[in-house]
Amino acid sequence: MTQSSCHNANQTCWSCPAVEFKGHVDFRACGQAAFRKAAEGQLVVECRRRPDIGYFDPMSITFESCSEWKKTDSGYLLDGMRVLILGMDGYLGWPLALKLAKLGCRVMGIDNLLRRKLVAERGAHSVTEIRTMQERIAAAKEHLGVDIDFREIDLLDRDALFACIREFQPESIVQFAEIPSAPYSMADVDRAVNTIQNNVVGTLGLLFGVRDHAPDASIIKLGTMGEYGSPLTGRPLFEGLFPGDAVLQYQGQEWSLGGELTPRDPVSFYHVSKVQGTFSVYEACKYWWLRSYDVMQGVIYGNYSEELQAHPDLSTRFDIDEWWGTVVNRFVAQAVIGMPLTIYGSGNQRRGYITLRDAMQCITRLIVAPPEPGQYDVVNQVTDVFSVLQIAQMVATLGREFGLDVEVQRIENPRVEAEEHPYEVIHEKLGERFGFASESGFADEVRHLFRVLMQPEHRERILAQKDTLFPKTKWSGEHGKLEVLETWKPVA
Amino acid sequence: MKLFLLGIDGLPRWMWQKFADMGVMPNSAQLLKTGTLVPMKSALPEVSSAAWASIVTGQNSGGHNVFGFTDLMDGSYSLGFTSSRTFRAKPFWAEPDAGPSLIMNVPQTYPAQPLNGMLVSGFVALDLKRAVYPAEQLPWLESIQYSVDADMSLVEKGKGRFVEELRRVMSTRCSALHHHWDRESWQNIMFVFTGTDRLNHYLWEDYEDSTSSFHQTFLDYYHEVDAQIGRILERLDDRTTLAAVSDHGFARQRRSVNLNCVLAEGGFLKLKASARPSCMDILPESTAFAMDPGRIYLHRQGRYPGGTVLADEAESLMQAITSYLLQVSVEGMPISTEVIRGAGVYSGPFSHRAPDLIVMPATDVALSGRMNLSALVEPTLINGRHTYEESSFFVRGEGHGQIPGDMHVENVLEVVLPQKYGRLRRAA
Repeated sequence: MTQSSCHNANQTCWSCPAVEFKGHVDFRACGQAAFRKAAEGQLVVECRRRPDIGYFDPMSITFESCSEWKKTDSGYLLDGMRVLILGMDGYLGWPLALKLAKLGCRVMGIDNLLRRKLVAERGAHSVTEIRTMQERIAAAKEHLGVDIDFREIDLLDRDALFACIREFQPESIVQFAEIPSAPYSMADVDRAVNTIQNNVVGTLGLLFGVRDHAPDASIIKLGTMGEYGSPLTGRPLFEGLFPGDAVLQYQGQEWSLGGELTPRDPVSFYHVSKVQGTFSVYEACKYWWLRSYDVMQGVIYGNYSEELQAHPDLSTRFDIDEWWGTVVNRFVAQAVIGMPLTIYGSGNQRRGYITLRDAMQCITRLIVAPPEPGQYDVVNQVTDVFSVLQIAQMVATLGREFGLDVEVQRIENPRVEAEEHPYEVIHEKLGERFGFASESGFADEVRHLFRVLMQPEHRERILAQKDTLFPKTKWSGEHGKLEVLETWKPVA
Repeated sequence: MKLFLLGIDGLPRWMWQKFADMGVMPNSAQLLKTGTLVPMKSALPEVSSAAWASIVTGQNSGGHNVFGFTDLMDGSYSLGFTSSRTFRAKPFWAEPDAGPSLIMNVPQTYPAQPLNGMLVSGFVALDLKRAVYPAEQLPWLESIQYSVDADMSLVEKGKGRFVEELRRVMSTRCSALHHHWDRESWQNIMFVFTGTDRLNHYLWEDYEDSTSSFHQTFLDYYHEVDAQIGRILERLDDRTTLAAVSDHGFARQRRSVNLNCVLAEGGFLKLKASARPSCMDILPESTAFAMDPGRIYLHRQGRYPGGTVLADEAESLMQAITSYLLQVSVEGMPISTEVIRGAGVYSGPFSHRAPDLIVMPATDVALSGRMNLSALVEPTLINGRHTYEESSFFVRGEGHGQIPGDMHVENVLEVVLPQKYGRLRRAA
């Protein structure tokens, strides 16, 4: 076999969602069949796309040698792979739809447009103006020459969801349809329940839909690095599962931890919902032979992708308020309008980070390299680890390149979290197994953001929601203004 | 004359006669008095898929392209499974003048192909929906919970549960046979009992051990098969030729030896390290590899993508492999009694796809050809194995052809349909 640079070249048909499991046979006893995936014997499959080749051993054909898998920059891609994106209207969902469609996938998205409503409810809005989904789809056709399907469906409307899965027969399903805000989930009981209901029940329902209507589809489920918390012992944050040589020592005895889920220590009810999602997917893979990559994503930032740049009508949303914005995006926005960058507590909280562009590359590489039936695996999707203080310092420094005199401000921490802690993130799989190589660094991405946000119309849209940037939501449930502890100008 | 061709998979000639004589199969005892029972040789190697293909076409594997349950797709290391789509000779019922035929549970007929009549595939049949022709007969079969095959994994839950499943499947199959038999005046009916083969694979040790708690279970199953044979015999008239055949004999299996491990130990096969070894992992320096049950293929240049064995190296290599396999022992016992050259065995348009060597297993040995080399002697619940010798051929009625002195599976049609296949063979 020839060696290939593509990360998925040597994956076999057993990972391919176009292959249908037919049974196990034992040819030592006349090939009688057992029809459960958990049985033993020679696997027998049939390809839905190439029925002419008959029944075959899925381990004996690779993506590289299959005519249905075409070589692309993101690896071998199942020709016209059907990808269903749940939450396609979101910050991540829309750029992913564009990237996959441009790559040659057949993309369908669903969304209930909840994010637009929740951001508006907060009195905030996307800094970059976003079009309606109908306008976006038309713009994608006009400027990128791609067709994208969309259905306005609530994930909790299982009849509609299942009908969509049944009809579209996705080969990959990306689960982005979750409420992604820690402070929103901590604001009050209604919002906490809404988060849990949407995320936990939505994902659970989805799993039943996949089991019954598209059991060979791979599920790319978005988790978060926040599921792990930040253990004070300094235990490394492994990629979801303990490595094979991990050992627990207790009272003079040793037990292997290899392959077991690592501890989770969520830091908000939103993170609790993500942990529950992790367990639901893990169990579904075990019970029903579904397959999934659980993506523990670091804090995401930026708004650049090749496809997004094709036309302003293709912009993805860009939120900066306390609930819906992420820290880097908010810091750049604060810098642009001369507002001090707000650091919670000491600012020594360390987290993993990744740009939007890199995250899209990672997700794409996972989609084209599906797990095997029954396989559940986890990747830590981060490229850098920074403290909040470091980020503020770097944004302030980069702001000077754009003539901005940036202040930094420490405020009382509204969250319950460790402010001083070790933080060692293991993030090897995406690079080693999926061929991921970062295409965008912190400085370049932040410079791009400054260029975008300093445009007058965007600056105006930041100023119009200035009051939503400063945090108000306290994890304790208490009310009242957070105290400013310190304000300074970082030295160059 | 009409034809009823009854298959009893894996029933050795000697055992059929013995069970008839000792009262286990009383209907058979009556039947065998009315015709001729002779031993028959199976296909080479003695695998059901190839043997049944030979029985229903009158050709050997070189003619029908079924050499085993698996084969590599041409010019690749992709392992395909033989089926009706890779079966390249016409079975007797597909001949233009065959007349309406009812074909039930014949191995190697899945997925069901169109014919003048009705067909329900035998093993390996993975989905009932595609095992039935014409499709309008499917709902009735589903309504009686017809199974395309017994769930063999039940043997892991115990032999009692396993035999219970075999009984259920046989009962349903026989119900289906009689239901469809009544529907039309068929020129040909072919029906195969396949539970016998499964029983022999997993309970042969119990048959040989009269103190086993499953010894009587084994005999009872054959008694039940015989009762079903009796039901069939009641319905046959003098205008029907009745033939009954099995595809191979049976014997005790005490060890399942992975021939690829043996070849690897002999330096003939080298695999790339892989978590899930397959033929794709055969390295170019390999000179030979095996496939189930005892087929050896030289890793020939031009035949396989990484093949390196040149044509003028083949003879000496085959000699070396033959010598090696005849002297090698596993657990102190030989694994082979004879290594046969494929070139001398097969005839027909697909002979070029044949194995180069066929390894005949020694007593107590079954051979496999898995690419997972982790176990030379593979753990298995299987304790009975096929034999090349001593399958069964029985025929009664008027107008059948002469039975050859050295009867093989590919001779069945020339005996039971002499007007057509006797003439063709003579012309050939």
